[in-house]
Parts: sequence; C-alpha cells; structure tokens
Amino acid sequence: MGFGQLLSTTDVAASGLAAERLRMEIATNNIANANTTSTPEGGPFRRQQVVFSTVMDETTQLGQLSLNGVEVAEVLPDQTPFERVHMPGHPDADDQGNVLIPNVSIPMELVDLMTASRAYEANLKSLKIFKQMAEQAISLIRAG
Amino acid sequence: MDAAQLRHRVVSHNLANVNTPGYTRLDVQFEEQLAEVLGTSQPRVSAPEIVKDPSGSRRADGNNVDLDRELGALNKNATLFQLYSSLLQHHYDTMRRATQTG
Repeated sequence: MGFGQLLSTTDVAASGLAAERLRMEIATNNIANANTTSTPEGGPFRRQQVVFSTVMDETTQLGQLSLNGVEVAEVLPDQTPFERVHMPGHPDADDQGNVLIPNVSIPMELVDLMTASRAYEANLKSLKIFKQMAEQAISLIRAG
Repeated sequence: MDAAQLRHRVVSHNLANVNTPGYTRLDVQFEEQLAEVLGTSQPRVSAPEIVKDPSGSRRADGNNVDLDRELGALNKNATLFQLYSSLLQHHYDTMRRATQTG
C-alpha cells in the first residue's frame, strides 16, 4: 500500500461527514420553510430531499475495488401534493379563501435530522479509530 | 496490517453509505483465506479480497448497512490492527537485540 493510499481512508470518512452535514442542512432548511407560502418561483415552498450515491470504481489496479465513500447525487424537490387550508384573510389565498401550505412535515424532518446526526457520529468515530491506527503504524518507525 | 487497513477503509465506506438507497455492504476476506493457505503444503501469501455481503436485513430503501454492526466491526478491526502492530514491533525488537548482542 503506497503512502498516498495510507491516509486515503480519511477521505472516505470525510465524504460521509460532508454528505450527512448537507442532509442536515437540507432538513433544517425544510423546517425553517415549513410555513413559507410564497417563493420566488411562485407557489408555496416545496420540501427538498437529498439523494446519496456511492462512489466506487470497479476497474482499478489488481482488480480491486477502489472505494471513495459517498457523494450527494442530487437535491430533488418532493412531489407530494400541497395541503389546502381555508384561510380567507391570508394574502396568498385564492378566490375561495384557500391557501396552499408547504408539503413539509416537521416530525419527518426531525427523524431525518436524528438519523443524519447518528450517521455523522459513526463517520466521526471511524475517523478517530483510523487516526489511532495510523499513529500505531507510525510508532513502529519511531521505536526502530 | 495491510488487510486490517483495507478493512477499515471498507467499513468506513459502508458507514459513509449508510443512507445510500440500494447499497449493499462490503466486507474483506483475509483471515479465512490465510488459514486455508496455511493448511496446504505450499503456504503462500494471500491477498485480502473485497466481497459483497448481502446478509442482514434490508431496509425499505434496499440498504443493508447496520450502524451497530459496522461500529462493532470497526472496533474489532482496530484491536486486530493493534495486535498485528505489536507482533511486528516484537519482531523488530528481537532483530535489534540480535544485532546488538553480536
């Protein structure tokens, strides 16, 4: 294993950290906009969701898999329909006094936040253990 | 030590993909192969191999990475790495003593 590869496990864990952080950001943004009824694109705020995809190369040296962690493939809007609430006094109400409210459900976002934070912790743990292992390997040189 | 390091990489990859839909966890086979090779008349060094592991229950999104299982594997692997590095350290110490005495 070359020196370049020796520390590359760090990148795998870091990609996980970055992806989970983005997921948390998106969930937080969804919660912040849970009551936004008008957006620049028109209509109420549409809930956003992230799609993760694995970064893997099948054809590398020695036929070994090269593992590069995870990346965020895209951030997609959730296509579930908006709920209609009767609020005649609302500035965004239509002729019948109905307002479309965002398709964000707070409990769902909170669960998403929790799983993201747990996954973040797991990636951090892996990074810490890798650091320990690298220190051990380096101490072999020091002792000699 | 190489095998342990590769396994750490693989487990890290599993952890990074804990929320990727349709992802199948990967594992490293080394000790089993080594035991097999040592049992034969011509021992040779075997290379660690990455294999897909479809075991365990799949979630609704087709992912079978279990956070607890991966963290367990991570700790086990770190201990193994420690063992390997102590063995190597011991080997080096023995060699050093041999050269110094002579």
